[in-house]
Amino acid sequence: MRIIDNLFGPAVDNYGKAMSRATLRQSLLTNNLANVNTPGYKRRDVSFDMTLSGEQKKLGLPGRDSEITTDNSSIRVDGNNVDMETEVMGLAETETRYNALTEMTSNYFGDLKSVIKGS
Amino acid sequence: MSSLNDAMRISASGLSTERFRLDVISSNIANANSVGVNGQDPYRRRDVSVIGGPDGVKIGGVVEDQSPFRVVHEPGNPNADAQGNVSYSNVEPVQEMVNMMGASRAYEANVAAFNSAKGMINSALTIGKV
Repeated sequence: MRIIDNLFGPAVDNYGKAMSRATLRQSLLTNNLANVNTPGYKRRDVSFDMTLSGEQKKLGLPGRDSEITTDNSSIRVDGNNVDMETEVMGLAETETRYNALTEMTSNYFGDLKSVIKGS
Repeated sequence: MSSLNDAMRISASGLSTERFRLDVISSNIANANSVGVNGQDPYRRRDVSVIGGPDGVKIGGVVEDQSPFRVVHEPGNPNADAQGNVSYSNVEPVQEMVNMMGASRAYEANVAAFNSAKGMINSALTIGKV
């Protein structure tokens, strides 16, 4: 029982957390883009240390949960501070990161399967 | 807890808002040279007020620009008043073009965000294919 717990335990858990954080970031950046023409809208984002935080928890270090931050600076006359290029770049980066994480999860399960089948 | 479906829904709200803005801008450009007939006011430039929030955008309403009409002295024009003045709509074509570019770019950015969320959902589905 303990072996199985270890098999499915921390790694998959961390992948899941990292993916849900990427999802959260994706939806925040999407919202920023949707509000690119809303007067007074302030962009929101999550802090960036998403893989680090999982590792820190595994090592017993204090980890940080995904934390939504609002940037209150202003770059436009109407008080909106969404920069379209930054958001699209962030989206592309988050998507790539998410793809890497799904790939890693997929590989992890593939490895488990080959261990179980013994081939 | 947000999901990728929420992200797609937010993109959709952004897309429909920007498309509505484009519709209104098109109407403004089409009416750039509308004149007031029989003492009535000519076309007033329209603008969309957008309400944003943490879960997408929605259209607040259409507001009319209260800036003065463009009055031109054209005594030969059949729509001229007693003083020979014709009032044209208060649409500035250049301003509309700039707004149109902004709305069109924003639309494209929302499409990019939508496709990105779609790609992520597809790659999440590959986890099941071990």
